[in-house]
Amino acid sequence: MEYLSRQEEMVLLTVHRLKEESSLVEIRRFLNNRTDKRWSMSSVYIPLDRLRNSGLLTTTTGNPTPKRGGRAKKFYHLTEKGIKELLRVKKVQQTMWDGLRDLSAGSLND
Amino acid sequence: MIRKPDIVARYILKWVLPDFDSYYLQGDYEEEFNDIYERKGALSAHLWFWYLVLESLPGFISRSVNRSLNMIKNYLKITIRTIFKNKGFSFINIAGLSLSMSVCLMIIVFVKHETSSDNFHENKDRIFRIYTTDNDIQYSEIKGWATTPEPLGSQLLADYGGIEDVVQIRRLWSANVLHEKTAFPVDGFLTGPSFFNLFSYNLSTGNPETALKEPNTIILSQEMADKFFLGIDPVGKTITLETFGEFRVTGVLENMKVKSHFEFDFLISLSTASSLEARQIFSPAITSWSNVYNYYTYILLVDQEYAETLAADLPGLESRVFTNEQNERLGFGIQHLLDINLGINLGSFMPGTKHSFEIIFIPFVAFLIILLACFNYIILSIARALKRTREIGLRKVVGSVRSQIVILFLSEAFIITIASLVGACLIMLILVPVFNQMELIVYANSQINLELLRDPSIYAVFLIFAIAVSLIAGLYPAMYLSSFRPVNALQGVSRVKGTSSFRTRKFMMVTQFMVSIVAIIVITFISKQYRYMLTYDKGIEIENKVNIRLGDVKSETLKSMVLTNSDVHGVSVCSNIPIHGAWGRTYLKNMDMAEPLLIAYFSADPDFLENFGLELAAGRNFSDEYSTDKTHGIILNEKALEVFELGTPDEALDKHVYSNKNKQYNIIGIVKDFNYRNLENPIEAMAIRYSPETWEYATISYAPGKKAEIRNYLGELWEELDPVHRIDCSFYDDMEREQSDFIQGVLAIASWGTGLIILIALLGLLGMTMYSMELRLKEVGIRKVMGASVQRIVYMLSRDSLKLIMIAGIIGCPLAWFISGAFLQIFAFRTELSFWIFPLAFLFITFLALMTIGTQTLKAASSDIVNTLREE
Repeated sequence: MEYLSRQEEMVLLTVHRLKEESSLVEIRRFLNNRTDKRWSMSSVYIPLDRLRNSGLLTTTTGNPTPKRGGRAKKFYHLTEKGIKELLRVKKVQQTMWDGLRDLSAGSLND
Repeated sequence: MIRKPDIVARYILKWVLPDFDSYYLQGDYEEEFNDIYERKGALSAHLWFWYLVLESLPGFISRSVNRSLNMIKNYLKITIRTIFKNKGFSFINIAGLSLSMSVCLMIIVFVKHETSSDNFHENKDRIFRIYTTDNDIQYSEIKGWATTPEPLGSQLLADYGGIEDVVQIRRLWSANVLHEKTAFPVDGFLTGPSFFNLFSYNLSTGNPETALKEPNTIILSQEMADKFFLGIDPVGKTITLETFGEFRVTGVLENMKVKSHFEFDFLISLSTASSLEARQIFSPAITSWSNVYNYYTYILLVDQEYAETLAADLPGLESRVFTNEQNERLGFGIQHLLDINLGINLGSFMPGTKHSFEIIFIPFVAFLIILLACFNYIILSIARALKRTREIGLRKVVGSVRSQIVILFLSEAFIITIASLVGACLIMLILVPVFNQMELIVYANSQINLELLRDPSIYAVFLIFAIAVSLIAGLYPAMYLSSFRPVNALQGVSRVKGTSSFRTRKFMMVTQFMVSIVAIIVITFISKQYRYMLTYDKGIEIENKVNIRLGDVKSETLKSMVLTNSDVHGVSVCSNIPIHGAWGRTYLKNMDMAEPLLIAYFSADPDFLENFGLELAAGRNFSDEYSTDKTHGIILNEKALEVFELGTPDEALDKHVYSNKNKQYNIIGIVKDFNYRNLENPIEAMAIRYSPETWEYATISYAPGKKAEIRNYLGELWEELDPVHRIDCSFYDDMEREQSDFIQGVLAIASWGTGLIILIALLGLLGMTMYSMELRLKEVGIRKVMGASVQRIVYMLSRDSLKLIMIAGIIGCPLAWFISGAFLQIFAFRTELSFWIFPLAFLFITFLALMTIGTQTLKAASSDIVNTLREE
């Protein structure tokens, strides 16, 4: 199995965190607030679409609002597979970090 | 408060977004837009949205171009493979389309040539012509006069500041150049110096500003200069125009090979007109406002837009210059220079102008021919593509949308038409020289000018034409074939055979054969009418006769001299040429009539009746023994007796008829009815009088077979009688031949067209048969195993097509009956519509069709069963 890209991982985590509020606009706003990077609409949408296609996310449709020109909103949710994948990524990361000294504490010369 | 981004940006966004999620994404974008709007204001929000849209465009465009390029490459490959896989069908399609397209290309070149008229004038956008409308014109097809009153020119220039310049042109009728004591007929205009301000004609020698200023000056065409001043500079020399006088040559026109709506050999200064009026060669009244027949008025506007202002003010001008009475009848119109050729039909038009009605039928014929060829394509591609149902089904299954399949089939049609276009160009290059040599075409001055092919823009027209043809031909098959449902299509032909396409195919085949049958029948009737006219007994003998225009020669002199020749059998004199010339008219009435009737009228000498073999029903011929014959004698025809209710020929003798001025005429003889004009016209009441003052032609009958001798003899004799003028003689058999050449020319062109239509229909039939044989090969095998004979199978295979031809015949015959009947209405003397022609035409077509089908059905019927059954 392939690993998620960094982008996908962050999007997936955001979806997880936002729970019921996880629409494209909210996800992007969250990412913009929490990271240094500016996320464009498409840089959020494309990973979302990819994750949905590979079955890590499902979607539900919300109610239309006037702010959206009368269009409905699409919410993204983690599937079982998505949760497993997140866990797997976390585990891999932890194994990779395990046993290393805290980088922020000392210099590289040790 | 809800705000929306620009509609343009929204539209582009919608177009760029993936179809799949477009709906939600548009919502997301608008929500974000609104957020930004609230936080940072309108400008930022709009900028953000536009930036977003513009940023995504380049990628989107390059992606879609890339994709469609790949697509086109793929379609091209598939098409070329299909063409080569079905060589027979492709050949039939390309052959049929090339043939019919070549005809259309010829027509395009012809029409383009005609419409390119006057394009060489630098000021063409600003030049307009004023014409005169006339409520008194009796003929509904003429909308007015191309000419205007003479004072209009100066009036326009004085009244309207938007008119920069005016030129008036007057045609100099029946001019002859006297050169070395011989008269050469030429045609030209009188005009002023501003002619060169408007029209871009160049002088090879001479100064355009002064050349037409002084009276009695002339500018010659290069052709005319070469003819009369070969090898010398004509400027400063004089040239003599008969009756008009001597003219000093002040310039020679450059020989520009351009198409203009007027053609001329020379230009004379308009200032000459007043001296011609003084010498009473021109009537002075011509310069009044009521005379609208002589001066063409062209204006150069300061600005093209001004034409509208001027057009709106023309009624005002009319009321200023015309009296009330004149204004009820006359008015002015304005037309652009480029609208003159092929434009509205005006009387007294310039020599060289063609009117739209003269060529309006040509595009119809072209359209019919191209439509029939397109029918072929449609029939064949539906038939053939039914074999491709699996391909279409599979394409749909793997994700083709309908529009892609439509484009696939359209591109096939396009490639075939492009191939046909190349073929058509080649065929055209062969056809045009043949066509241009046809006498009818030379006579009608309608040769096709292939020099136009050097102009690249014509190929653009060809290409547009080819695209149009491919759309006509390809659209129906494309729509039909792409409508298959994949489930059915994958199961094979039997599941998709829609009845609608069968009906379309049958309808098209029936149409093709119907048009063929109609064309054959109509052409047969035209030629039957033509033969009828050739052999019809007109009641007047015109064989071995020649007419000479007397001019200044006295009829007595000519008569006495000609009669000394032993080959001459008789001479008579008449005011007109019977049958091939015009005829006079006169008013006559009987005693009881209040209003006189307008009847045909000839003035002839006593030899007229005998010379033309005319018989008297009663009474006697004119004679010099009766002094009153010249003043009061009249001979009527039998028809006139009916019209004037004069009873039997014998009763009518010594009765009287009266002119509209109540002059009394004695009826001295009744001539049996004869055709005094051509057979298009009925014989109507006619009178012959013996009044020498209107005699214009002498008719000489000569011994059969002596035409050449007579021609030489008359030529020499005329030199003595009138050394100045050329002899103007017309042999009756020449005139008859000219007329029959014309009809034969029409017949030849029509027959070629019909042949083409039949050929196209047969090609279609051949393709259709080839296809159904392929499908039914196995059926034939099984039938043969069960014991069917070859004849039986051929019959079975031909039955369907024959049924269609039968239907075509049933619809076509009444239609042909109607059209032929309408055509024959033109002629007062017409042949019967004989019934035997209908079955004959039908049998002829059936025979051709059977021959076409036969090649294929016989092959199928006699094919080896073992092979056909084993196929697969």
